[in-house]
Amino acid sequence: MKNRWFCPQIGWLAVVGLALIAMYPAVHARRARSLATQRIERLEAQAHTNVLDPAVVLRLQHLSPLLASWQTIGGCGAGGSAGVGTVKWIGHSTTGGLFQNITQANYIPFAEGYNLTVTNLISREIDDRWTVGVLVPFIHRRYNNYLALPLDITNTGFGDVNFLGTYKFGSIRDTALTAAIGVPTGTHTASFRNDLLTQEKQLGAGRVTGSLTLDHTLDQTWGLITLGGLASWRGGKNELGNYRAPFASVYSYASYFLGPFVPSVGLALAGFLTSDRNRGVGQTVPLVLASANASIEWSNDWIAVLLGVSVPVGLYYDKSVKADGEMPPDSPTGIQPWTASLGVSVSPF
Amino acid sequence: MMRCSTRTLRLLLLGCGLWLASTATGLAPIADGDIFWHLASGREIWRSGQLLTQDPFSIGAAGRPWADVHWLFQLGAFAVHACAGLRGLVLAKCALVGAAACLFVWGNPRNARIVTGLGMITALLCARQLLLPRPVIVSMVMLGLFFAQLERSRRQRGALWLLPLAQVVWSNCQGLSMLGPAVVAAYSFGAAAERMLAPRGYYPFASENTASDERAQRRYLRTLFSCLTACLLACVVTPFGARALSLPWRLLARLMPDASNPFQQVVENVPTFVAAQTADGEFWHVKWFIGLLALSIAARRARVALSELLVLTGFTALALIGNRNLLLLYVVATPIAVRQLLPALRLCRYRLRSWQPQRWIAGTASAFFVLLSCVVASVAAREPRLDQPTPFHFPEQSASAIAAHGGSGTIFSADHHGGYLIWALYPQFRPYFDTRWILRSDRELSDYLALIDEPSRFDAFAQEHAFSYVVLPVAYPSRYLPLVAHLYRDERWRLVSTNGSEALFANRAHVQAQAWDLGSDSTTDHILAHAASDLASPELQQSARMQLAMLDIAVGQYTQADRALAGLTTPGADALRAQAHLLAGDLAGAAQLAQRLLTQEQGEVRGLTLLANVSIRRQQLPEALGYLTRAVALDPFDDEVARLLVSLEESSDAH
Repeated sequence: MKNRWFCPQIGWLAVVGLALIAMYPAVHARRARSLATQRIERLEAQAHTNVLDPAVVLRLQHLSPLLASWQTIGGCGAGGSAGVGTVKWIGHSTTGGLFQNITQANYIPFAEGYNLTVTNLISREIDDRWTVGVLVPFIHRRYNNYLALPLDITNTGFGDVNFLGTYKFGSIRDTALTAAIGVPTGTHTASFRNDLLTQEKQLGAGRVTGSLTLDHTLDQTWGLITLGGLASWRGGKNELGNYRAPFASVYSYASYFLGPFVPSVGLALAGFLTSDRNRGVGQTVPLVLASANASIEWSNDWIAVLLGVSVPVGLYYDKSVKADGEMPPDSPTGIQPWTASLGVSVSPF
Repeated sequence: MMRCSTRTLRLLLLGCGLWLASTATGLAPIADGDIFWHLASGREIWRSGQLLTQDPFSIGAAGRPWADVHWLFQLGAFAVHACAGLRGLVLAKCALVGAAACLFVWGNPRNARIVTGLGMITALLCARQLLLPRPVIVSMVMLGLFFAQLERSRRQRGALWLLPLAQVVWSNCQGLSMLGPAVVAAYSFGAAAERMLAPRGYYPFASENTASDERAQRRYLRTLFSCLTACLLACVVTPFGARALSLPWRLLARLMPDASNPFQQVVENVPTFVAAQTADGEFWHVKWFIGLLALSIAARRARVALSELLVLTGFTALALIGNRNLLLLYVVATPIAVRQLLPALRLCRYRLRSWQPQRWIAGTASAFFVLLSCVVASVAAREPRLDQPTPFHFPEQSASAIAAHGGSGTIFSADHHGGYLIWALYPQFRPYFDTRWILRSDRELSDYLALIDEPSRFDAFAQEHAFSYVVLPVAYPSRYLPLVAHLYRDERWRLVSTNGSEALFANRAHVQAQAWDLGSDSTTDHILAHAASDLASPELQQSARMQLAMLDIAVGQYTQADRALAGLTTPGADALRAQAHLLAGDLAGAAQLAQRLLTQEQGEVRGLTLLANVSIRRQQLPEALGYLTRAVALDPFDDEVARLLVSLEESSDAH
């Protein structure tokens, strides 16, 4: 049987289809309840127009459909281990469903290969303050002419799964603190011809990682300004002697409302505590980076799509660290490999 | 010899038990208006000795070509009614339901029949409100025959030559007869696909038949395709020829979910899950049935035959787009689900062999059968008399009043009353509308619905058609109440008869009769006295009183509504009382009654919506929204909540 894998799949499709149909009434009732509650909340907000300052009321009304821009837990960049070179989701996004699903593909080309990371973040608002989510990255790394040999290698699979929780502060929930814990589900022991790949070529850290992100959004009549910071523990040293240094970053984004489009630009500055090490040997990587980010989001009531790009620039590296024999693909200062990103957000049911 | 007799006896007992229990699931008086225009058609065919090719019954579609593909069913139904009345019709329907169940069970392998039988009785019990004396019952029997023969032919036992003959009968009984060739096509396609793809290793389905040698498989495939061709040809063996073939497709198009499709508002066409939101729990079982179906397929590790998958997909889709098709899904899918469960059941039996599972299975099945039979019997026993139509569903009093007054003319009535009026009053009186949807265009139905929803349009329409009478229901459904109130206030019409559940208005220019004053105590007492004498059961009397109260509220006679409800303490009565107080401007009284409703299990949502209404009238919007939030948490699909929200939003937008 050539298609042994394929054989039972159609039957299982029927099982899944029927199960989804069976679950539809419960999901639909939940959705209807949620929509009706939202309508009541809108009416409640309007009912207070007699006692509130009209200007304040206008501001709240104006903002209400836009709250989604910071009600998400930071998009797929939130659980990432890098403060720069990732495209943060800025815009309306989507809300109101049973859960939110953001799928974001990041493509990073470099001299001898590329990295493609598809991250899928599923999150759910518990109430108006708490949101929880899980982020699953799928990584494909390709290196051409590996070790200057006439062969190409790839390392593909799931990365470290992150669990996220967000707590929102403020009367209009405009400040959000997101904690993420990454579990070592991605392999960190991939090898080629019995030789372990260097740590940046691995899919996971091999250790528990964690990060803390603080976002604050300033609402303006023309758009949003997002200020934030991120502190990340990238796992430290694993049993192979690979070390990923912790880092912190600060960033700022400004976006503009153009009907269903939200273009945004932003700057991020990140600093690493020390250089990363591969099996105990230091790697020549930039320790201070700045990145320029630009993105545009299009959204309607059901779906949001984001297209973005991030260009990082290495500002400083530790010259005392010597390369481990394998030449770094690019210079540790100057323009670093850029990231192009395409994301889709939906809030089904 | 003795062993054979024991087995035969056991089979006979099993068959009789199954037939009796399945039959009993359908024991309920006639509640569907269609049967009456079927009876009238049968009577007309019998009287004239000719088939009906044009509509003779209604004024809305008078003279239009009518492919009456149900003529054989109509003649049969009329014959049964002539011999044994409505009770005979109900019993004949039940017998056919039992026969269909037996056929479906017979189609399954012998070792699955007990479980299939129990599943079938349970499924029929759940869907018993759909077991109406309509041509769909014939379709059920035919589907049973088709599946039985097709399944048996998988095991080289079927007599597929029977199917084209059955198809001829089916094609002359219902438009759904195209399901026959569709089912045979599913089996043929499955067998052909397996034969083409399985040798190459590209066949991801379970085997279609048990034939081991190549020649038997080829013969099986050839027989299936011959049967399919013959069934397709049999579809045109009707007096209407190829014209009848377009009927099922036109009916299917009208089931398609589309906001602009007015036929979606016909109660039987409403998508099943939408109906489940509003039909007071009638369809609670659908999600469980489909979930169990998924589990049964999963139990066999998703190894399902392609033909079964096609059949399940088709019937599930039909059932989801229109609740009328749910019954067919239940009877078709139950045997398939049991077949899927067979390997798992066999495995269980093997693993538990030290427990002597045969005895346990027999004991459990018997106990379940007895339990099911008790449930079926108790449900059937609660039904009213079988020799009369279901109370409050048909305009019996209005038809009698019109007949007593004599003369001839035209009637505007609720669509589902049209059939009964045709049966009772044709040819002297003809209704404008009835439920033969195939005779109506989208536009006509939309216009008709607009008349009901916007009664002010009715005046010009009535003038154009010169109606002598208008017959409208009060509670089944309550959508006609605004038109009832409109006509009650209109000088050109007078209310000439009502029993609370139906209202008969006569055109002053055409009919001379005394008008009834619903504001008078004597009118209320007169109606209640009649209800007490006509209706034996206290529950029916209560229902009659509540419907009279609804009518009184609709025409603004709140004191009389209170009078009609005197002594009733049910949540429904309290809700009506509170509504009367609310509309009369007694907000405190309405709030008090609504608070009482909150303490009763079935009245919580109604209590909350009433309190929200009271708060809105008191200009206490935050309180109203609080009550609505609680109501939404309990029932997000409540009509009253939706209406209140829309009106609040409109008023908010206006500000």
